[in-house]
Amino acid sequence: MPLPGAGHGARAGMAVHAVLDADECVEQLYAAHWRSLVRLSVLLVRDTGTAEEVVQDAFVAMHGRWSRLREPDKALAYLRQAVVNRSRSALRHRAVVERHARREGGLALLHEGGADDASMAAARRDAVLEALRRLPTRQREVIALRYYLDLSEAEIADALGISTGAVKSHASRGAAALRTHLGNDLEDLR
Amino acid sequence: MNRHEPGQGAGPGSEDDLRRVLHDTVDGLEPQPGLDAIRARTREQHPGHGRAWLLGAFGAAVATAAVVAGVAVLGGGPRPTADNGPAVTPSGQVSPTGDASEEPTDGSSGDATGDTVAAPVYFAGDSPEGVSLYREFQRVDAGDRLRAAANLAVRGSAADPDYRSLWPDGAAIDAVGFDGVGVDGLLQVSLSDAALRVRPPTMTEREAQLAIQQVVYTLQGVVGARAPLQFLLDGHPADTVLGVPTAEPLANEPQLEVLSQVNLTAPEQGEEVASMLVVTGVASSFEATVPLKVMRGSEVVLEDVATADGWGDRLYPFTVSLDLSSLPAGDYTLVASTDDPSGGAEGNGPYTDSKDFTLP
Repeated sequence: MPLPGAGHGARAGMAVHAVLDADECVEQLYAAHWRSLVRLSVLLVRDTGTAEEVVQDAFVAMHGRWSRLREPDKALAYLRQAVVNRSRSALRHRAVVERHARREGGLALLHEGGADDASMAAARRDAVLEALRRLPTRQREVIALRYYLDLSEAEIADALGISTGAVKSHASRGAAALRTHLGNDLEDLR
Repeated sequence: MNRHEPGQGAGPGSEDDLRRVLHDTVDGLEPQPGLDAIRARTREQHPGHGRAWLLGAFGAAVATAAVVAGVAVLGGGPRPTADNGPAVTPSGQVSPTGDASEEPTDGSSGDATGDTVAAPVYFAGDSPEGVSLYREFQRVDAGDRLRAAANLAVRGSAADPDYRSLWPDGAAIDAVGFDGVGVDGLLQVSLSDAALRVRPPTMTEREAQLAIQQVVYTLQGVVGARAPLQFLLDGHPADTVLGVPTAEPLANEPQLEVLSQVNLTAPEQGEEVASMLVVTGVASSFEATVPLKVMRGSEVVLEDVATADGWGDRLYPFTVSLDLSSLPAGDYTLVASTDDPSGGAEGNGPYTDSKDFTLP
């Protein structure tokens, strides 16, 4: 049985979705995509704990909607879209919480904590995530789907519910802005 | 899979830097296993119920669409009474943003066959408030303009990529009726699915309120009157929609609480424009000043300001002509914003609205 989502062009065969139920599809997609979806969400929300919650929620939602999806390819497309949408909501929710926290006299914001904060890798990661955070939401989403998940313009358009023309313009603006924000860091990271 | 080149002259090879950077950034992260938690939660789901809460809404909408031709007038709803709240704005304006005359003429989209009309459709977009509503004019079938416009809003079928719907996926409006004239009329909106009574767990209260206002503003705009609006389920007034109390007919919320404080009308997203570009829109911006920028990629190639007819208590129209004749042909973006005299020191920064356009 082909892995769901393996090969974008490959339609899931009749035999596959005739036998696959919601639980099995969750399991298969989890095995193939859990890591990359959590990492995608980290690019959007910065925080690993939030990203894990977002992707868990997306899987649960996908399971609940299985009778409408029925095919692993559609389920994967739904998952991606749900992860992007829910990351956006999480971010918005967090912005409210942060504003509130600041008004209250403010605790430190979101630090991923831990010993390797000091390490070079963590510092770089923070720089890149910070640069992504400064992009407008749509640009950040297009950049992450295109350069991290390697989705085609059509797939990105589908996941975000926008036209391929809009994907192009967000991608080019986003890439230019990201390069500007990263500046010298990008040279170092090459 | 072939990548398209970004428009700004970066070759395909130079995209690899971004690809590598993103992978370097997160590939080292090893997420906690989540399968057990997912399984525990999916076990709570009852097949066909619970979280699959909009199941079948789409099919129902399609089935109904075949039967409901044109504008259905639904009977039986309660009439608005004097104390149903402000169906008219304090200033006495009856058109949605004080701009009925500002709606684009039929010539703007070419085909004045008489079969379609321009309808103001309200979508959600990011703003300093988190999310606000933005208006986009779309052409709809003249005979079905109310239902068509409401469904464009609910489905989020916006030309502008920055806009979206706040309604849950699969939500639809089966029929819209309007009886009477002006504010004496009542808009009646039949929802596709009883599951739309409740606010989904992922939706905030403000998002639910704004989702409702998407429909209120859109339909009031189409009929050109601040008529109250009643949501119906199975022909009866719905007690709640998305968790918002709706037993009584609803009025529009004040513009400054729900609408983006700047909203471009022209150019339209993706439009091919003339070198004398006429920019129109509505805004409530400090001292009626609406800063405008023309961008090519991330570079600002032209700046100007428009002056709106007013500011502070509602949105006011503005119009200005920009001379683009010195610019080379190509793809540009127009960005309009509210003026922020504090330079970002106060509040959450300016409202903005942007449209991509092509200069041939």
